[in-house]
Amino acid sequence: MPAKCSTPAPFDTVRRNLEKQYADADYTPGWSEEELQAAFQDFCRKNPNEPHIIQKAQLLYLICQYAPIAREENDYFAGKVKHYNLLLNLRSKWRLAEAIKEFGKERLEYFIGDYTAQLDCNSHICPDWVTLLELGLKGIHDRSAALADTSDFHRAVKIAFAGVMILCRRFDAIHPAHNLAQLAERPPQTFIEALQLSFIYHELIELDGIQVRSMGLFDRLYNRFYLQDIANKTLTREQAAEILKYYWIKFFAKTEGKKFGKPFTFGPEANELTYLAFEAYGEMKIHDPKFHLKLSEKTPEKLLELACKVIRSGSNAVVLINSDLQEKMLIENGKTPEDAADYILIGCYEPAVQGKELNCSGAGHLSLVKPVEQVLQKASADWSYEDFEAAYFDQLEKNLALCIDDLKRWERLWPEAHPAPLLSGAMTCCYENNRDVSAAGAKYNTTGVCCGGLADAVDSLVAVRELLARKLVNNITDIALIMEQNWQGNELLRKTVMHKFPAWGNNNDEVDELAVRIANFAADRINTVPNTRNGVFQMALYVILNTAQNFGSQLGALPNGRLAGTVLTLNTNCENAHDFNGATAILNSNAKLPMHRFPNGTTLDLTLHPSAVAHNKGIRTLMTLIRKYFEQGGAALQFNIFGKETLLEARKDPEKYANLQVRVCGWNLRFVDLAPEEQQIFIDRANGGDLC
Amino acid sequence: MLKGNIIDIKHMAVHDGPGIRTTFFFKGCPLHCAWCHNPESQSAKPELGLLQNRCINCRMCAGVCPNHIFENSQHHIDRTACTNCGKCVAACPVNALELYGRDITLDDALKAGLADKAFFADNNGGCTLSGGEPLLQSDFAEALLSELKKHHIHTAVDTCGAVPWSSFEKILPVTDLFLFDLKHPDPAEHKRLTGMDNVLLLENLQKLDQTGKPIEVRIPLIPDYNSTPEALAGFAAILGSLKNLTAVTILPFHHARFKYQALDITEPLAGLEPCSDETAFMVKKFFTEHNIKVSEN
Repeated sequence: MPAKCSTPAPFDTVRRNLEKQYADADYTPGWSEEELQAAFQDFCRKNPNEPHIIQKAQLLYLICQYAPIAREENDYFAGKVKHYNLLLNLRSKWRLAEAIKEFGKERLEYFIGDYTAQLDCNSHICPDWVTLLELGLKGIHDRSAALADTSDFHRAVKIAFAGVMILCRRFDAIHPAHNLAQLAERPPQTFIEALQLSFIYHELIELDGIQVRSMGLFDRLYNRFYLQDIANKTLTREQAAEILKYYWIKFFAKTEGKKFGKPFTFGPEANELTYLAFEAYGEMKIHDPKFHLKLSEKTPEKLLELACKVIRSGSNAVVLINSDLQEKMLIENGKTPEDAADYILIGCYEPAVQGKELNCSGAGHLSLVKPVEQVLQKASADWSYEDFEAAYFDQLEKNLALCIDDLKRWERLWPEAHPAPLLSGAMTCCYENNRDVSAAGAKYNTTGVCCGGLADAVDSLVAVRELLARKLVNNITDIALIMEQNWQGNELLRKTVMHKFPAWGNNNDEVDELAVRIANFAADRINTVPNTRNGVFQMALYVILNTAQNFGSQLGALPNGRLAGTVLTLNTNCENAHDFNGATAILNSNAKLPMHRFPNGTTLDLTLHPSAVAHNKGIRTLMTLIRKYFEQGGAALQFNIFGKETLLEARKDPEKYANLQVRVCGWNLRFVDLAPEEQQIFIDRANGGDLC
Repeated sequence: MLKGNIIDIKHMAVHDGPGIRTTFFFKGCPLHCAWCHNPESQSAKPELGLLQNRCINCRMCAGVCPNHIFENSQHHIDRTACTNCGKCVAACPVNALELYGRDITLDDALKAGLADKAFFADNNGGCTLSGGEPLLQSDFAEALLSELKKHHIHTAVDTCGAVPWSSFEKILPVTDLFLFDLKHPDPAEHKRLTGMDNVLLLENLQKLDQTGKPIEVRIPLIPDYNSTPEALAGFAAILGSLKNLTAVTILPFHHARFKYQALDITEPLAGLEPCSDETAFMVKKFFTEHNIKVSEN
């Protein structure tokens, strides 16, 4: 029997089991993959004219009704289904078929490291948690059922939610304490019920490969349940803290702490749940899920102080967000002020309106530095630096246009490739528009182009300028030749470039001006360009590790000293070990960027040595850095707090440092889980200004 | 044009006074403390430093100056012939050579001081003049501090105190906080390891206290030298007499061996064990028991 709310098993005593239980689930008997597949094919045969959205809802229904479900013992929460990736495979099949039709097989495999554009296969979404918690499963089912005769969309929603309700009743038979039978019939009424509903809903949405990339404005969504339980004396603060730990460990268990980390958003105002959440989370010392804290003047210093203590204690999966800037930016990009106030960050750093926006935030990725290589390859000996720079911007413009064009083509494929009735059903805007999210049913439909490699681009341009100005090369074709040879035979010149040339992130106006120009140039060509879903394209200025490696692997040597094939510099960070002037200089450089022009998000990772944030003063130092950076216009900030010594030790003694977290980009990982070359990135970055 | 002679400017300094600060390290010091962890700051003249752990034996320096000698891949500088011209520093591709001591104009110093202004606002962050001894360049110090005050920036001066009182008088109106270093309460002991007795600096400390300016006293804790019961009692008597003491900061001794090696100077206390955490803890406890506030770092 699972533990009941009134008699919780102490979380710390069962934590290890909970971390493993999800992956090693013990299932009830149910249909096999073949049986489910056969039933689905039978349905398709008998109903040859049903659209994809109905087919998908039907497959979900079959899984909910017949697939084995997990017995998760001694757990407050249930919801795992053995789904055999059937929905994901169906979606992949449709997606590939559509893509081949549009692009041809060869084009799909074509990648030179300039950009990637695709249907947002890891579609980053934030469900309409408000509607889910207010109406419950049955409420959502019923409102679409009433209109089921009028459209395929409502019919699909009805089928999908009917399936989920059946599944809840099945879970209730093995986990009666979770109240899942009641959750099938009515909206949640208690704190634990509300959490259970959000967990199972998120779990089922993800069956088809969509990632629920925000669990919403957590403290605002759940505080009323918490306060009501406290008032009714059915829950104590301590019990609520335990329940939260059980809840969050489910998300950790699901990814085994090795993937992106589930985001929860807090603030800017604080309520009782905000403090409780941060306290409980801090005690867990965990890197997944991750916390986004919206910060404004309304945020009490006490909350920021608590968040800083959590960060310093090692839970550095906390992203601080400049809320005033984000809201202003969202309004400038067409959101109503009320909607803008309801923004969350999706996935890593992409602001979007909770439950009302389908931001394909990771659809396009573009390398800001590839044009350096492309242009050097065609440079002629008489080029001045100015000629080179002009050619760089021309090439960047071409790459941006190609990327946006490809994205538009992908977008048109979406309704056939990726209908999402379970997600769309709860979204009140989709209900009102009578359209699935894949058919632009959301109130806001934006498409992201994430631009990466800023530091490498800026420093490479500066290096070309300096190499010519200091007459260290004869002309620009010399530089092209050195790049072609991957700096071989020019090691001293390379060292000179790396150690002695000005670089991004040091509050050097001349260098930073170039960064601002590149950012504005890209923003001019991305933002407000209409997409094909009644929305617009939006620029992001960040790059996640996988993409940075991907782009880097296709990129030759660069004039900034970077060798061929190596990873690009992440986000708006300075190049590793190029922070010659300390953390404030990095922040000052960043604050010059037009942060309000990155509506698809941006962030800076700040690596600090523990000695800089020691004692009570250290917490005040962190708070000052955050507050003052945001006052200057910074958009988002996250921290890595450790010294090089610690990382080298951790490499030698992984067991001892099993819980050491590093901020990889939009998520955290255990340092000891990284590949050696990935570990090296963080060792170099923690190295301070010492390049040797 | 008034110029300062400095070694370095450090941004985001969090150990040189309250809040987040920018610290200017002045070159030249009247004392020559045996434990000095900034030996390059003692002489007012420029000095060439060679950081062996950075050197890659590329010999670019030797290409511009014959005073760089490489024997068995070991890099030496002929100090007798070196004029500290700095040509080799420019030639070195890996910053293994550094010229300690450079002139800085008031404008440039002010620009550096204002760069982090946004981060000073809370907790009395600001600028600290340190060194070396900033009051050996009291005209430049006064000019820089005055300019900083015009921009409403909190100013601190880290001094060893061994300068004429007139130098203090000059900067008093434009200094918000003094970080006053005390090495030893006994004049003879003071002279033994710093080269100068403590009469003048103690006199200055008392005079400074009369002005009402807040003073944070900093004690480099050197095992067996000034951690003895007698020395601590002496410190306590001095600190107890101050009306405007904000706190005492204990700075446990650690070696700065590479800095001495960079200058080809023998480290005077090379054999001394670093100050243990226990000793530092005991000393902090001693001061706390004598009702003297100890700062947390």
